[in-house]
Amino acid sequence: MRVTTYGTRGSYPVCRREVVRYGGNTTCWLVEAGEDLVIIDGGSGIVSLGNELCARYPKGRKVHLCMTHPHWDHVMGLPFFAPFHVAGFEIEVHGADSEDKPLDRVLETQHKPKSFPVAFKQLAAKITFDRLTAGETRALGAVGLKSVQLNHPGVDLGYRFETARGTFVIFTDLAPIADNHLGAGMAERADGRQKAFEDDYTNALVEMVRGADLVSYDTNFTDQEIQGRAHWGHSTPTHAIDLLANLDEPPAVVLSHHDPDHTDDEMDAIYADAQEQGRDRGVEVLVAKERGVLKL
Amino acid sequence: MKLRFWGTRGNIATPGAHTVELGGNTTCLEVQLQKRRSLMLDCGSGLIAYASSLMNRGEAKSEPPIERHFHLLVTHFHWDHVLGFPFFHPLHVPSSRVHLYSAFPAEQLEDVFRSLFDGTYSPLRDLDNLAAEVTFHQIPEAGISLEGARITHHPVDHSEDNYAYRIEHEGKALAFATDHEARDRPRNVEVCDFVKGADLLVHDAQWTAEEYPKHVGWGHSTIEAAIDNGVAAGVRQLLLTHHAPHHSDDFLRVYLSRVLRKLDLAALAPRVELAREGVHYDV
Repeated sequence: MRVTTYGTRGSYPVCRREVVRYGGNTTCWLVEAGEDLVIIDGGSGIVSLGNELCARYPKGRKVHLCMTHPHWDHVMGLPFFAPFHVAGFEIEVHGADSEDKPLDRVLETQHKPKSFPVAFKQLAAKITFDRLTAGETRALGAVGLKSVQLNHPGVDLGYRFETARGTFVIFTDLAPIADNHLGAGMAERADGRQKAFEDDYTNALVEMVRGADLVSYDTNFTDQEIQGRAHWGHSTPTHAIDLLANLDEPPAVVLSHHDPDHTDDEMDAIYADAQEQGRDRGVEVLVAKERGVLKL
Repeated sequence: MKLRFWGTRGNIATPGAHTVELGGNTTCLEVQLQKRRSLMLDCGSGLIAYASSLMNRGEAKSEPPIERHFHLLVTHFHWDHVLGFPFFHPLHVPSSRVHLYSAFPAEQLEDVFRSLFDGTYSPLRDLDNLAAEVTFHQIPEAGISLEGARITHHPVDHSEDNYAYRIEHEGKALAFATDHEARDRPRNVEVCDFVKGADLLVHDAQWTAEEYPKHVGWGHSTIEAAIDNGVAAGVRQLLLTHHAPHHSDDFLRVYLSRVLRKLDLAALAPRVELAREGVHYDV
């Protein structure tokens, strides 16, 4: 199992000399496991991934695309994903309906007239949709998929990808849950039973990461920066380490969804701090860099 | 009048070491007028960087808050010309007055920009919930005056309705023709006429001559055709923009110098350069 980061940045693409080491493209990951190719999210990073896939597979092939949620930084690259425009590619899109739009409408709307020159229905690839509800599981070829709803505005899914060779979990865009119920339906579910709701939520996350090798976690903020911003829907390296440190055999964590204002130098410092914290608490800490490859 | 590019890239923001010189942000230009407010052309991702620069200069958070007006002129509604807007920080500042303009009917402009805040693609739901006051305006065919500048527009040749702008101020003229396909059509003659004699022309130049045959009708020009237009229109300076995401800084620099060498433009001008993010150009 091979995990490659094509987009590490949160919110919007950042084009500056000061971010070229960690990368300015927004969220996109590729999981390669045997014959199976699974892409996670269609941020701006998916553009160069798509160009690579077209070069590697000129006649096309089957690709899974797992959408965590439809915010711009996770979908903006999709209209420019070259395999959509090449006959022979077969792309199965997995993800949840958003509150206002079913999954297929989320993608179609990006191709609406005036916004993009090619209508979704005109795309050359065969594109199918697999609408998921949080908690459901799937088999993507030989890759086992599990899903969970994350604490972020709207419907946002965390995914676990399990193979014989290793297990990768991605939690992108999630905020701490304490007194902070952002996800669609969460405030209602917490009503009158806040403690139980929060415990259930945390336990569900723990079960998702238990036994995994690697967990990509949204660590947009530092401990200082999140003050007053927990409702924005993002976490810190401390939150990631808190979740993992209690496990008997904690997976390694990969810091990701870097804040657009964090320069490479600031990221070096954030990473060093998190590594120190991880060492103290028995969690190996890695950091997402564009084009970084992790082998499991 | 000065011109500063905040975004020069076409299609989609393209970060990376291979684009840092010319810039990876999508279309956004700042027309700086002496002692007046700037006119912003298009709302690509460069608009986010422009807003950050205001924050860094402290101008957007003056105490007590003074009304701050922004003039954003839009050519058309493809993603690379609007997607900076949902991240335009002044929208969250109560003293901001954001004025959007285009050649399209104001309701159409409003529809497009409101749809960016539908609650699906970001947590922001409904433009009216944001702190700033946002208004929508149609620039009539006869043009308008803004901040002492005269602004006119003319339709160009693109896959979607799209307009070139001409901005005249203190005897100087700046013309902006992005997402225009310069080819043997009456529309191109009209566009050359519209930008005629400009001191500075910013022209779409997405393709090389070799790439063009596969992209006829996509609504973008070759570097060669953009130069032809600059020559035909008799402009003083020509800046090529809407750089293709797959063209690196080095590729474009080498390619353009080869084209210019072949043309031997020395005698007839205009001065031809690749538009570069962060650089101020005198008009």
